[in-house]
Amino acid sequence: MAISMADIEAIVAQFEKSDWRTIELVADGVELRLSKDGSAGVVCAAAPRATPTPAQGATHGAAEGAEQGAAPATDASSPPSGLVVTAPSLGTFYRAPRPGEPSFAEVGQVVAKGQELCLIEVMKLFTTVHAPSAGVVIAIHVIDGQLVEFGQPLVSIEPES
Amino acid sequence: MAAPHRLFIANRGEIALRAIETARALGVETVLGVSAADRDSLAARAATRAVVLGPAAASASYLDQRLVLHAARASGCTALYPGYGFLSERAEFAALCEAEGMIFVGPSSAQIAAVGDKLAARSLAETAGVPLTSGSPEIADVPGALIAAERIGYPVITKASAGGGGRGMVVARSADELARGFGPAAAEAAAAFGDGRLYLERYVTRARHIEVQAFGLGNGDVLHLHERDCSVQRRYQKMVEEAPAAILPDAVRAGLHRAAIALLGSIAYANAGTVEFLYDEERATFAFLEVNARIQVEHPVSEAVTGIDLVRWQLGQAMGTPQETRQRDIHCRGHAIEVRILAEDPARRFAPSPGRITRWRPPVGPGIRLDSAVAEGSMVPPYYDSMIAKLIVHAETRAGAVARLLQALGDFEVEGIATNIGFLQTLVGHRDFRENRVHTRWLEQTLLLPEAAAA
Repeated sequence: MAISMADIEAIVAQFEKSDWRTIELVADGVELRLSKDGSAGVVCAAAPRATPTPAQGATHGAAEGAEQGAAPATDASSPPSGLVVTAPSLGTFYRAPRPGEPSFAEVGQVVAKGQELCLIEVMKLFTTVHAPSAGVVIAIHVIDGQLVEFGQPLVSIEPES
Repeated sequence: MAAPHRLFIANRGEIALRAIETARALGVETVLGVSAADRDSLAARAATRAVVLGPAAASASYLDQRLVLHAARASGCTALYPGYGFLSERAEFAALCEAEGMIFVGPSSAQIAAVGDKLAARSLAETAGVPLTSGSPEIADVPGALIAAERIGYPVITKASAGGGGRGMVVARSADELARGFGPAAAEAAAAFGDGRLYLERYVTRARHIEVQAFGLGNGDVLHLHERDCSVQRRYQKMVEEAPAAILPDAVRAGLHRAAIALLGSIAYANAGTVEFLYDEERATFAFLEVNARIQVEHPVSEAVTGIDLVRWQLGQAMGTPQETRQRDIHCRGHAIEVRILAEDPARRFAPSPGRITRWRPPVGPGIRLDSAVAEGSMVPPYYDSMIAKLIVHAETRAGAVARLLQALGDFEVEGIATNIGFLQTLVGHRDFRENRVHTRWLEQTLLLPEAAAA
C-alpha cells in the first residue's frame, strides 16, 4: 500500500489537533517526522523535487532552517516520491572517503539501502551517512568541504518502487 | 592592527544574548551555536549568524565539546564565550580550545582544574591563608567520628568525600545524634556515589552564603568587585542575590576581599571568577566554600553597584585589551538585588512549566534592569534550565531596593506559563527579608515549610 499526499495531510491535521509533541512515521519509502517544538529537527517528508532548494550551507541562518522543516509536509501538489537525507549533527560535509578519491555517490547513480553517501566530520572524527533506502540519487545539496548544520538536507534519493 | 576577532557563543538563553549584545557594542561579529530547539530563539536572531549544532538534547548539542569547537573553527571564530553552566568549567574543554588555538574567554584550563577539584581548592585556600571550616580528615567509624566531633565542637555535619548535593549529610547536635546518624549517612553516601567515606565539618546554624566577585588580570594581580549575599536558596539553588552583603561588619568585609584576592592571586588567575564563603553570623567569621571559575548568573548585581560591565571586561581581556582599572577606582554604590524568574510552578513543588509565553510585560523604570532571552510568543523549551529572566533593581539603600523590587515584581505580567513571580513577591515582602534576617536555610524553614514537611 502506497501512502498518498492526502494521507500525509490527514496525519498532519490529526497531529495539529492532538496534544502530541512529536510524531515519526516510516513506511513505503516515506519518512515523516513532525514536531511542535522543533526538537525533531528538519525533516524529511515526501517530495523533495518539488521543494525549491535554496543555496545551501554555511551561510544560512537558523530561521531558514526552520522554514525548510515546515514546508515539505504540507505541499499538496507534489507526489511523495523522494527521501531527503539530512545531517545527523553539525559538521564538515565530504563527498569522498579521502581527498582526490571518487565520490561515494553522484546524481543519477543507483544506490543500495545502507550504501555510503557522504561523510560528516567533527574534529577529525568522521561519521558515515548511509542511504536509508535503495533508489536513485536525484540531488546532492551541499558542496564538498562545506560546514553543514544539524538537520540540513544533504542528499535526495528517489526510492525504488 | 590584528585581524578582527569573531566570537563563538557556546551557550543559550539570557547569557548568550548578553554576550552577543556586548560583542556587538565592541564591533565583534558573533556566531551562536544552538540546538534544534533553540533555532528560533531571540539569541539566534540577535547573533550575526546562528548554526544548529544538533538535536535538542544538550548532550548532543551544547555539551558536545568537539561539536562546539568544530562549529567555532569552521565558522571562522577566533574566540569562544562559554557563559555559565554547559562547558564553562570543563578544564578539558578549555584545554581543547587552547590546543586548537581558539581563545577561551575565561581562565586557563590549568586554573579551572586547580580550583575545580574540591580538595585541591581547599588546599590552595589553606596555602593562601584563607580560613577553612574546621573539619576532620576521613573518618572510618563511629568512635573515630566521636573523637573528631569533640575536637571540632557540636553541632557537626557529616559530608561525603565523594560528592555533594546533600547526600551523606547528617547534622548532629550531640554525641548521641552523631552515633545514630553516622551509619545511615555512610550508607546514603555509598548508595549515591559508590563510596561511603565521610568526614566531619562544623555545622553553622545560621550561615550566610557570601561570595566575592573577582577579576584576575593573569599576571598575579586580582581585582575585586565587592561581594554578594546569596543566602536565599532553595535546595542549594540561589533564588535572590544582593550586593553588597549588608550584614557584614566592615572589618570582616575587608578580610573577605583580601582572602579572595590571595587565593586567586596565588594561581595568577585570569578573567572573571567568584570565591564563595560561608559566613557565620553568630561568630562573625567566614570560611572558604569553593571557587567558581566563570561568570556567574548573579553578576549583574555587582555590575549595578560598581558600574562595571563584567562581560565587556571578559571579552576585552580575552581579545588583548589590557585592563587599566585600579582597585582604588572600583567603588560600591547603593544596593542591588536580583531575583531569578523561573518557568516553574511553586504550587506544584516548583515543577518546570515549559510552553508558549502568550503575554510578556516586564517592568520598566529607573533602577530596573531585565536580563532575558524571551519575549511575547517565545517558546520555553522543556530541555534546559528553567530560568527565563533575571530582574535586577538598584537603589540608594537596601530598603529602597526592596521597595523597588516589590513594585517591579507587581508590574511584571507573564501569561501562558507558570512562573515564580508571585512567590518572589511573597518572599521579598516577608518581614525577615525586608529586615535582612535570612540565612541559607531560611527559605526552607519559612515559606517552603509545607514543602519540606511533605518531602
